[in-house]
Amino acid sequence: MRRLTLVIAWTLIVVPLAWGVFQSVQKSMPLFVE
Amino acid sequence: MLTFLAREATVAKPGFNRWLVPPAAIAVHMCIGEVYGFSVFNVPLTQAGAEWTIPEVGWIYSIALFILGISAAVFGKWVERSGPRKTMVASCTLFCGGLLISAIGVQFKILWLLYVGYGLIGGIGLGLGYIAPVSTLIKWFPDRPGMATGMAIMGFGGGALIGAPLGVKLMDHFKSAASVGVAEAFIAMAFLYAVFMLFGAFIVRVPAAGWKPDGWIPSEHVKPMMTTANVAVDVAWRTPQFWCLWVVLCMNVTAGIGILGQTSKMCSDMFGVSAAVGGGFAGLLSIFNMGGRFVWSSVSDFTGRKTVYCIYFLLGALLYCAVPWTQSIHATPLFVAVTAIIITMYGGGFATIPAYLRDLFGPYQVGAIHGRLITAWSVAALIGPSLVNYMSTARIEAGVPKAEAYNSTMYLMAGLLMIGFVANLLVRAVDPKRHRIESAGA
Repeated sequence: MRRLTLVIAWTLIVVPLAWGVFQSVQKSMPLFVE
Repeated sequence: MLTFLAREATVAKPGFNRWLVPPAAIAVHMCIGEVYGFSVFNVPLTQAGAEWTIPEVGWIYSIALFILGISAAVFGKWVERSGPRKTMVASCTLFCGGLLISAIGVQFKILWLLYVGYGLIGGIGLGLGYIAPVSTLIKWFPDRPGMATGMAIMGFGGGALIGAPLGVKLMDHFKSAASVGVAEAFIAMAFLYAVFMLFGAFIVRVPAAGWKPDGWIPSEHVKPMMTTANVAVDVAWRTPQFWCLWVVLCMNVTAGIGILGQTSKMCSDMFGVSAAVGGGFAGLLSIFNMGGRFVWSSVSDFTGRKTVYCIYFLLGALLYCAVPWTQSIHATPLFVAVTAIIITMYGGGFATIPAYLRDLFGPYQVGAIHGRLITAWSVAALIGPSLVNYMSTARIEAGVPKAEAYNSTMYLMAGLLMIGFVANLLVRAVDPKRHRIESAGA
């Protein structure tokens, strides 16, 4: 149960952060393309 | 309800896994870090039908950041007394409440409601939310305080990465013939952020008195710059060490914020690249800003805080001086690499400072001391962007080509870092006369 809580807590944090990083990587693409 | 929020209710039971606390801290920082992405609302706000100008709406962000510093300084002691859960709930209520008040302001076209809502009330929420998780994490990770503070403050950097695109997507979703979608986006964000912040408040815990990590034995070798005693906030802020660190933070932030606020324009002016590429550069730097917070702060656990700040200042000054050179040889990739490293150290400076405070003043009221030190950030937020703006504009008006207009600013930033370097060298261990007598186990 404790391990499950830990996994859920970290997932709730990592998913939005990863989404934010992905958005920034997408935004930075023109820097490498042009 | 009040019992649930009290500090005593958050004391962890034996066997509690301390790795559950970083998600709680990051959840709060990730939400309040949205303030860094607030600029995405500036243009839509000017199109909301109230004839607001960019400078007028720009004040919302400035007030929020200024109040963040002030409230962290004023409420620091209350935060230490009340514990992290009550503070996180207060932060959530104020920050999300501020967003809702701002939505009303947009709907009824009352600008001062945005100043009061997002700027003043939300700003207090920012200050409370910024310091509470940091001091809690420091207490949970006495073996790795740098890594601990790095995790929380990395969340603040991450909040900007999330807040800006989220704001844009929500406005696009709610946009209609009658609305630019700002008010609706504010309401949606208020509810979304409230869920995350309350989740953080729900799972946060403080260690029981005398708790130590399993298997961790504090080093018997006394490190002169790492106290085992405690200094109260009212004493700490009167010490030369506090003011040396104030200068350290102020100089590091002034130099970094000066670049960070102008990235896109600077890249376009110096290398003649398109606005899209300039925007891409800004996006890339925000990732390095976030990563630097965790990496450098964790490194400081091994090198010591003083050494890592020496690296920030010396390497930083060297790299600032290299920026004009990268422009003179038109090496855009090199310019990107140099500024990326500079920005990692800007983020690192933010993240390492709470651990530095803990080393010098002990964990007792480190949140409150951190709160007072954050006023250096408020000052830097005023000085940094103005310096870059003023100097580059003056140089262009004096006939200097746009591409070279930033050179003198870079040298000035290097000079500011050298002031920070000297202040850091002046930091010594706190005089034992300043220690609390009943420090043991506090």
